[in-house]
Amino acid sequence: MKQPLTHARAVAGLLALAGCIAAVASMTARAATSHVTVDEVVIAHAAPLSPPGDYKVGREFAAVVDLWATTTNAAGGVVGRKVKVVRYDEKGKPELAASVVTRAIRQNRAVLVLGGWNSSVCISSAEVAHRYKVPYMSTGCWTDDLTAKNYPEIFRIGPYNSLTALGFAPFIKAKRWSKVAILAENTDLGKGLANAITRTTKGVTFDVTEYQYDATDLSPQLARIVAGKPNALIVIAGYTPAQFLAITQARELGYTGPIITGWDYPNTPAYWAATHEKGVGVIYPSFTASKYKTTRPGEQFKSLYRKARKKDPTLYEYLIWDSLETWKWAATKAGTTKPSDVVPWMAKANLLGTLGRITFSHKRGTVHFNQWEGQRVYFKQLTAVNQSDENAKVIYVSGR
Amino acid sequence: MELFVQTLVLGLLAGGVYALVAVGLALIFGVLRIATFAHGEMAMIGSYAAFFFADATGANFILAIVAGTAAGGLAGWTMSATLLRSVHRGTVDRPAEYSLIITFALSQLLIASALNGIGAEPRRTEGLWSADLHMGDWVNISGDRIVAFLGAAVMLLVLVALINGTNTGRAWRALSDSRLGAQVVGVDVVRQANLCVAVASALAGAAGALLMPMFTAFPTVGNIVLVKGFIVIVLGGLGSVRGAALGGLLLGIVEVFPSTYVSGDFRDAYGFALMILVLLLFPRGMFGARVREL
Repeated sequence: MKQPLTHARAVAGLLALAGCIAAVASMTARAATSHVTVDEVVIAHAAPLSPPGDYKVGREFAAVVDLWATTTNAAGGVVGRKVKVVRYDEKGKPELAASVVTRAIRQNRAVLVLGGWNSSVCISSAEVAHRYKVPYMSTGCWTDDLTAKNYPEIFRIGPYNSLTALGFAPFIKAKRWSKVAILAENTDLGKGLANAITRTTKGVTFDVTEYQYDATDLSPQLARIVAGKPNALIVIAGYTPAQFLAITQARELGYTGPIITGWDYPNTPAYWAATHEKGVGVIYPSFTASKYKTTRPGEQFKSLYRKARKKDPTLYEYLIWDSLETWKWAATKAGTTKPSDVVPWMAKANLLGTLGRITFSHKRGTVHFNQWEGQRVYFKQLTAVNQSDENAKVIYVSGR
Repeated sequence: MELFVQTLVLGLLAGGVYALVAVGLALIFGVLRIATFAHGEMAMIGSYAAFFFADATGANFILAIVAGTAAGGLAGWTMSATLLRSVHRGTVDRPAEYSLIITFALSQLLIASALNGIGAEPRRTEGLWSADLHMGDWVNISGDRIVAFLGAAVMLLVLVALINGTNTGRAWRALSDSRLGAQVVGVDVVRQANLCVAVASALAGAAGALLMPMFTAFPTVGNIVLVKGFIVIVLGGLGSVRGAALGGLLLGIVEVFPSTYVSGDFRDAYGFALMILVLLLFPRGMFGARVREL
């Protein structure tokens, strides 16, 4: 006879419940729920912290935001108020991002929303921020659409497709490559940048192949690419495991030509752990180069970061720092953290960032709006196993 | 023609590993009539165990595969002896649903634990044969891919020998035919069920270890394993070990050819499309003896 409830079933049920709670606790919203005092100001960080989002990147970025908050609070906060970070996991899903940004603004009274890695997430988040007229800053979304609507509250200190493609074009020309294969993930980033590169680089035959962004085997696509004998292979990926696979599997399939992939991820220990000797020779575009010094704030950030994390920051970590510093600059100028007062000052930003001076372009009716455009593109090549970014060889510099 | 041969080789090698992943699921379903959603995480555990063992000891990768297999088997035994015990004892009313729910919870717990405990970075060590094999434009393949395929083939043969030539295998076959009948003739159902899940999980662990040098170890690697595994066992026929082996090879071919010649954007979709087609034409799967309710 079946027993409706046995001891074993009860224990198993409790275990399952504990599992669900642990999973949910770690994989969903991490927003602080404690009360915010009048001496505190809340900024929201919405990032992919669990699957299917690129949680590896999200967690790295979260550490930088926390480092900034700790450092800022130790120095007295922003306009005399301590900064409190509320963090939400948007899992790389646009609909979830819209929901958590709404919660951050309405429930947590966030006066700044920082976030976005997937372009579609940024678009949905930006719409919410615009509706509530709260400044939204993105570093990791490359889609031109983010700034195309010219919303006054939406700012980007980071690359975007149109400008980045202009960095690739002269490099490809200088290398005299006439036939280039592009392997792009099927995201806004992959499709957008592939489209921008093919559109802006004239006189070159491109073969664009898309893949599912979280693929674990790219050999079928690469087999066809390799059979076409391209002069170079550009891998466009934001999801790093697949990006690293593309490198190892292209070499496995006998491709010996140049591989160009970005952005900055070859400058991480995970890169060498995944690629080993097959990572040698890879060219990666970057907005920083050690021989071109970072600014004084950049050196200060690098020092803080190294002390806290025992490694060097990647490009986006510099840009996140700059985004937060820009908001702090604007709030200081406005004398308040009230969004309606801070936004006009953000548009007028003029401060020294980690990589150069931070100002925003304001070309109405174009994507070049509230957009930092100070980056140059350094193409670097890794020449030895476990080589760091500092020792990578700069082979070309393009951009403004 | 060169591309065709290269694609065929890639498809067969991928299919061999899919077969290894799926055969554990088929074994559990065939013997115990339950499905486990944590099967992919057994592969993830095997993958990490192989990585940490090889990384820490610098030992030959064969030992790392053994470590991955053992870790998967141990995790499977533990899961079976605790969470699935009431299923094995026949004290739950709906064992199939119960198993799905509780193993799904376990799966999420294991992913979250790996994410928080180990971190999100992909991990990889050198495999047994990390050099690449280049035969002109015809076949270019990594040695690790060949090792994975051969390893999968060996383990499948061992499993077939275990099922057909040992008392344990006879007990499993008896359980598969009739749980009550097996009990009547003296089979210790709980023990054999635990052993069955442990062996199936060990195979998943072995698959994870074999794949790690190529595809890296990361917290959500099990999701892919699980999806492929379910497609394969549906293709081959639920509960059919032979069907899982052949279904794995078929899935490998069906995924790789269109990915090469049509679009790689829909790789997973090709497998699902095939699954729908097979279900329409062969509702019991291509080699399934009978249909079970899930």
